[in-house]
Amino acid sequence: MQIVLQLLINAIIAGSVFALVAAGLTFIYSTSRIFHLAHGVVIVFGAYVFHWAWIVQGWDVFLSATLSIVVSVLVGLIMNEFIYEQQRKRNAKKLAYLVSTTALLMLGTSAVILLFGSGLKTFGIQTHVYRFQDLNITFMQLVLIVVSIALLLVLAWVVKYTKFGKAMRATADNDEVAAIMGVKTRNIRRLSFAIGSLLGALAGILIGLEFNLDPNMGVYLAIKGFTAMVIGGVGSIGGAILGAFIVGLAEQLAVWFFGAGWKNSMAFVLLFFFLLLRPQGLFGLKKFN
Amino acid sequence: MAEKSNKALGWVVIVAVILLGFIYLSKSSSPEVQPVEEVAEEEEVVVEIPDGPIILGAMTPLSGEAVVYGEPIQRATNLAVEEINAAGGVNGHELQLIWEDSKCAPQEGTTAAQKLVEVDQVGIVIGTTCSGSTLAAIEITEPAGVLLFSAAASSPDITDAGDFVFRTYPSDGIGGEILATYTYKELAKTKLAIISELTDYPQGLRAVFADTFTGLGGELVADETYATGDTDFRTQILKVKAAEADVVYVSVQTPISGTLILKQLKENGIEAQVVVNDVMISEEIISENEDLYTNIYGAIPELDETREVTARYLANYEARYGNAAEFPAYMASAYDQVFILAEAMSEVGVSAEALRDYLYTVENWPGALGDITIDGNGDPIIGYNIKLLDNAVITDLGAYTP
Repeated sequence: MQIVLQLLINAIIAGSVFALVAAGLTFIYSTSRIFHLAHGVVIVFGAYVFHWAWIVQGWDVFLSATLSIVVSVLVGLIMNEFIYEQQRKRNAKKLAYLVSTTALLMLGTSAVILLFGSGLKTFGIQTHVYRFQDLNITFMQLVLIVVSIALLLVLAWVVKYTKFGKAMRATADNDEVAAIMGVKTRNIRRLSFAIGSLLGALAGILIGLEFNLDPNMGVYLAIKGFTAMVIGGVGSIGGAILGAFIVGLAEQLAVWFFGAGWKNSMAFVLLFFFLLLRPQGLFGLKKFN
Repeated sequence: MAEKSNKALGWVVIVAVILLGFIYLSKSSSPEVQPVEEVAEEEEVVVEIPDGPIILGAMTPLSGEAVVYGEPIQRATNLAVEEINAAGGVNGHELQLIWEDSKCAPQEGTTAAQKLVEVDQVGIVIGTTCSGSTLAAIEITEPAGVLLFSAAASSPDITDAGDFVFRTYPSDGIGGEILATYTYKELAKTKLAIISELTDYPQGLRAVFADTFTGLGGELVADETYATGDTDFRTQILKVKAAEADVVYVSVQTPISGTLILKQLKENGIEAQVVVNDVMISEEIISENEDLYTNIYGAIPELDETREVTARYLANYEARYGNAAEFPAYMASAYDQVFILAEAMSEVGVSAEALRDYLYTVENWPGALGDITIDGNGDPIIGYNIKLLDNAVITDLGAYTP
């Protein structure tokens, strides 16, 4: 029983991070219909800027976090404004977006390596460990879980009850109709990129604090976030969050039952499973195509 | 419509070009290529050394996790080259190195070796550091008849990987056996758990350690692995805990993931004894992570600092680079290797065949690492010492032989 509980805790810790990534991707996808894989780079930028400001420059932790969020949001907005919106003007097809987002992912990773070096960065932070009988969780992990869940709840509220949320859902449903009805869809897309990138920056900061920073981690994060999104049902934020926890749990179970070699393949196994058997995901209304 | 998608395609091409530019820049800026004034003539099987500098290929990880020891090893190698050149070079010929970044991955080892063998056409390659990339590089150097001399790759698989393959660092077969025996007999542990990284070097050690330990009568209760780049080891640790091991052997490729494992072991309340492999024994990393490196045992070839050559190497390194040697044993090996090569070249010239024959005869060569004897497989015979890592210091517990 203890073991099952500890496995669940481990899955929740991993899932909280994926949830932030997947929610960000979903925000962006629902308004722009772009599988923004380059979101991985936004996360990596957030993490590295935070490390640079806090550890290298020794600035205040909240100032560093703010700077990291600002930079990430800018990176996300620049990608949208100068690449995706330009492609949209030219009526680009889905494939063209996929090519450019992949290119941005690689370009961004190289930029991070050029700016911050290719070596691994560590924060070297150890926080208090809480033990309940035989269960262990650190203060940092609690912060990670609480921040993720609180943030995602706030966003769910925004989407459901604010004017912006309504406009966003309208754009997500059918952007042409929304535009005719007076929704400035271009601004809605900008906002969703900003919010998605903000979530990405926070994910980056939390990943850095809990694990290590590696310039290439963007690819893995993007793939896991993407899988979580497909599992949950493309466009559904609640579904993406649930999907993230499923990916987290599947990875931990894979390590437990089959060994760690299988861990990173679990996301793909789930992805194939859902794409073949339930392409609309758990909560998605439309089929993913 | 067609025009529009052409425009989109144009954008894609532009982005791709910029991207390739970035990749090219980031690749070409990382390996430190020393200026090559003139390329040596193609070597023939003669004892004479061709005019001009002697160009050697050199590989080590210069990016990625393994850069923590890749760079110090590069510096130790460069130090030896500088000292030899300052003393007049090899029979008056200056030594020059062409560095390639072999990272710590087999693909990169192949790429680096191909570049050195095919483009630079070197006859001798120093390196590389990681066993996986070395084994991959041997696939290129051995058929080309190029001499490969590694300072740090220690996988037992390298022992009979090729006729032109040599090393100054002992095979893990020795170190793993000594540490496993010590753990079973001296530390009196019987239930072993292993957490190992899925690359050649840690896996070689894992096999030797497990075989020795179970051979002595111990029990292997958990055998967990992880892929390079993983940062979450909690479930592996949970299995170690569930198996009620009384000793955990942590066999890693770099101290970066190793330190993270130590952190998560502590967080998860594992009280079993921890023993670690050679790469974890670094003064710098231990003192930076004082809280994590407590009561940990490991084995490493011993540097006898009272030896004149060893003391000189350590002092020169500190004087040249401003800090103490980060991984003294690996780096001493890299340092010695250049001097052995220089001596060999001054005796028999620069042909790979002649050097190979000469190196097999090296016996009790007085190096910074110890008295180096190269056996019939091109492996050195060197003793190991057991070390205790605690309170930010490394304590020596004496020499052991298998």
